[in-house]
Order: sequence, then C-alpha cells, then structure tokens
Amino acid sequence: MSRFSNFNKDITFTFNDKVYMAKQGDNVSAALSINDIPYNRKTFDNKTPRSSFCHMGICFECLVQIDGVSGIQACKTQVVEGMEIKEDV
Amino acid sequence: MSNLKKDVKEYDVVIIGAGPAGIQSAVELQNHGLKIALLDDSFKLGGQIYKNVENNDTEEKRKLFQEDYYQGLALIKKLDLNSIDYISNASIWSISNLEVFYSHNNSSTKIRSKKIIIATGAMERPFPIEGWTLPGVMGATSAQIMLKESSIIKDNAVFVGTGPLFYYVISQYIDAGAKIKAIIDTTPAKNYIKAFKYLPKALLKVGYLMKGLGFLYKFKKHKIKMYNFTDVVKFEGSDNLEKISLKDGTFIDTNIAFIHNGLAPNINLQLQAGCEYEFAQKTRTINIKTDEFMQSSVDNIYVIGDGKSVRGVDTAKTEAKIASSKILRDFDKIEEEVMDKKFFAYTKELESHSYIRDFLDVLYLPHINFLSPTKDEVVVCRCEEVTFSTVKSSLEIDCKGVNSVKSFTRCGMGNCQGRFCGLTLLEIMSEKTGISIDELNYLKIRSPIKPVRIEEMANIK
Repeated sequence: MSRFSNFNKDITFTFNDKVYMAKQGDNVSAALSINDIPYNRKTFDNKTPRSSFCHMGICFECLVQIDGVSGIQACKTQVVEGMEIKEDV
Repeated sequence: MSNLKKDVKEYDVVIIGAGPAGIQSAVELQNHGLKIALLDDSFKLGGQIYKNVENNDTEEKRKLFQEDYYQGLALIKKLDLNSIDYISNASIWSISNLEVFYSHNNSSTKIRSKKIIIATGAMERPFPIEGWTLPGVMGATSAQIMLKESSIIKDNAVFVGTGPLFYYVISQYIDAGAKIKAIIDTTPAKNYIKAFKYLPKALLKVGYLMKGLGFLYKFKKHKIKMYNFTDVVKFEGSDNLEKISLKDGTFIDTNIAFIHNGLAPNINLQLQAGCEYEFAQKTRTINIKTDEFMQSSVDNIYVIGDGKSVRGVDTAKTEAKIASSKILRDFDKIEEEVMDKKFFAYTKELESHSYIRDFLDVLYLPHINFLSPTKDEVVVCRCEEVTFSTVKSSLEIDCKGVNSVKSFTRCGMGNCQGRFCGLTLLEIMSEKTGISIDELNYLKIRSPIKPVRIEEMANIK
C-alpha cells in the first residue's frame, strides 16, 4: 500500500478512538484503506465484517459512524482534520 | 401551501450527473438564456471516468492517465459555471412530476424543471461468486478511483474479471508502479470465436484495438502471472480475504482482489422516475428505452450515456449533444433546420462509435457462472445477506417474479436497493423457472432511491 506524488496536506483522524493519518482530499474510504483498516462495519444478522466495495456511492458497504452520526457513506464523505470515525452499528 | 410553492426554484433544464454526458449537455445548453442546474453526487466535476482530473494536471500524471482522461479537463474548461447552477455533493433521491428532490449537506431541497436530463453513468455489474463480500475484495473501478482521487496504489493485488475497463485499470496500475500479483482473466474462450465475425467492423476503429493489444503486451512484458479462461473462482478467508482458489486446486495468497464483471447502467433513478426499460440480451443488462432524441417514455425526461446503455464515453457525449439540440429546439433557441443538421451529423457520429461495440459486447460477455451463482452459499444480496439457496427456496414456494422473491427473502431490500443483486435475481429466476429473461419485470424501484433522514424529508426546502 503506497501513494505516489500526492503532496496534499497531512491530516489526522480517529477510527474507533485510534489516531491515523490521511491526506487532505481523501474520502473516508480511501483514508481507512491507506491505513489498512480491515473493516468499517459488521452486518446486522451474521455480524460478518465488511469494507468498501465500489468506492462510488452505490454499494453502501462503506457505512461508518462519523462524529456520532451512523449510516454515513465513507466514500461520499471527505475526511477532515480531527474527524472521529467509528465502525457502523 | 401557496407560499411553499412560490419558494420552489424553477429551472428550464436540470441535468443529473456531472460525468462526460452531463457536462457535455451543460456545455451545449449554457449561454442560450436558459436556466440550468447541474446536480452531481461527487465533490468534483468529471464523474467516475474524469474523476479529479482538475487536480491531476501534472506532467507526471499526464504520462500515467494519458490523453483520454485529459479530454475531460478540456471539456470541464468549456463549462461556464457562471451561467449555470452547479450543485456538487447532491444526493438525488427522487423525481416525481418533473420535480427533483436532493439531499445536500444534511438538508433536502426540491426543485422544479421543464426538462430533466438523467446521466447517472455506469456501475459494476454484480459478480456473485463465493467470498465476494469479504473485506479486501473490491470492484476494479475502486482501484481506479483511489488512484485518481488519492494517488493510492495497493501492491500485490490480484485482478479478477473481464472487460475493456478491466484491462485498462490494470494497465494504469502497472504504469503507476504497482506490483501486481496475478491476473485471473474470466473471458470465456468461446467468446473469442463468437466475436470473430464482428472483427471486420471493429477494425474500422483500429486504434482502439491496438490499445487493447498494447495492454496485453504490457502484462506480458511485466511478467505478470496470468490465468486465462477461468470459470470458477472462490475467495477465501475468515474475516478478510486470505486466498483465491481456482478450479484446478491452484491457490493464490492475497489480501487484495480487484474484481470486475463488466459494467451495467446505474438505473435506479430512471426506474423510480418511471422510465420504461428493457433487458438487453447482448449485454445482459437492464437498459433504458428512449426515442432517437434520447427522450425516455416519461415526457421531458431524457436519459443519456452509460446510464441508458453502456456504450462508452464517446457515445455518451454524442448522446448529450443530440438531447441538447432537441431541447434547444423545444425552447425555440435554435431553428428547426439547425437541429435537423445537427441531428444528422450526430447520428453519423453515433454510428461511428458503434463500430467497436458489438465486438466488445460479445467478447466480454461474462461466463454464465459469473452471471448466476453456482454454489448455494454464494451471497446474492450483499446488504441483506441473502444467499443463492434462500433465493432458490423462495422459487420453490412459487414466487412469480423478482418482486415476490424480494418480499419473501429481503433480497434487494437493503441499503443499495438492488443495485448489486437485481441483475443476478433476474438471471436466477429465468434459469430456474424457464421464463425468458426479457419477459421478467425488474425490481420495483421506489422513492427515496437513497436513504434520507425523516427529519430531512419533513423539512424539504
């Protein structure tokens, strides 16, 4: 996992209370992905872990909780400094 | 009530989707004295194909993404954002009686328009195989999106699938310096024979074919392990993708797989708006029906580009020009004669774009094993975790169509609203009941097509 020629500003965010780094302009899916965070939610019935599939707002696999609000599409949300992200429930 | 009505913003044309088709429409329609809105659910102009192009205009990236991509930049530069209302990050959740409802920054707005152009583009066709819900298994388009938007590459990924876009993404990944573990090509051997008869016409677009051959040469040159004509693939792992297994017992260890089973039109908004559709046998997708001016069965709603039928970026732009000239004529902004002339020229353009299409459609039609599941435990509906065996049992209790399967099983009832299982359901239903697939109704798509908070709905501006 790496980046090439991205000179955007570094920012920090938390996922499940742990601090991570991302670049300005990343969406939340990309920010989780670059940090190798394995999953962002578990399914309701079987509790199987899921992570972003389509990265374009269609599959709804990337749902997370952001600043206390659940059911947010990570790939449709830009990560900002200090954002508190948690796995969706 | 009358107060509320007065507040609704009125437009002459609302364009939905700011990809090639949507932007081209706006460019054609702007500066004619019409009130135009361009709504898009991304942060930036360009759609998926021209994603983030405005921020990728560096010498290094120009080498990587090549000329096709930067045509998007030229197109965006033609857009006069002072003369239209461009609303980014808008999630459109309903169209009803030429009123468009969208959510933007946690609040919903209703606007009214005399005409609507829907240009929602394409999405990944479902790829219902064992383990495709495991974290680490992603659509190949997501590799490209992360690359364009955040310059992210994931090393040691395995690419699984077929289709023009599939090879294109892999090629870009190689150019970006990514290490690719293997390519599992699922294009059926039979397709090469079937496609052969369309080759002469495709040769009229020889540049396109050469580009394809160039990709294959590149894979060879980089000594990437290729598995061809694969018809059985399984993703394995407990909480995460750990390995991919093939029919002959081969295992490939990997945590990342980018999979691609071709593209399909992203149709939920069109269907919710009431546009008539058809099952296209050639591509095995649901396409939207239109007349020769791209007007759908709903008066004043036009559907263009890959959101109508997947025919690529050039066709999308030409369809935008056709719809726009008809709309300009309807508003009396151009003469009948001018429209006729334009229409004639654009129709020729469309025909020229189509030379390659039959060849590509036949060559890259997925193997039946990847259209309809072969194993009971395959997840058909990702959102509601409905398996193939559950869908089959609902057919045994005499479900007459995909909508009754949906009621019995919740297949298609989750957050994505059938986008990633609708086509699979049709395939299963047709295969198991013997009913011809084009006689089956698709899922009934209702408003809202995206989840909206009740608070927002109650306070529509």
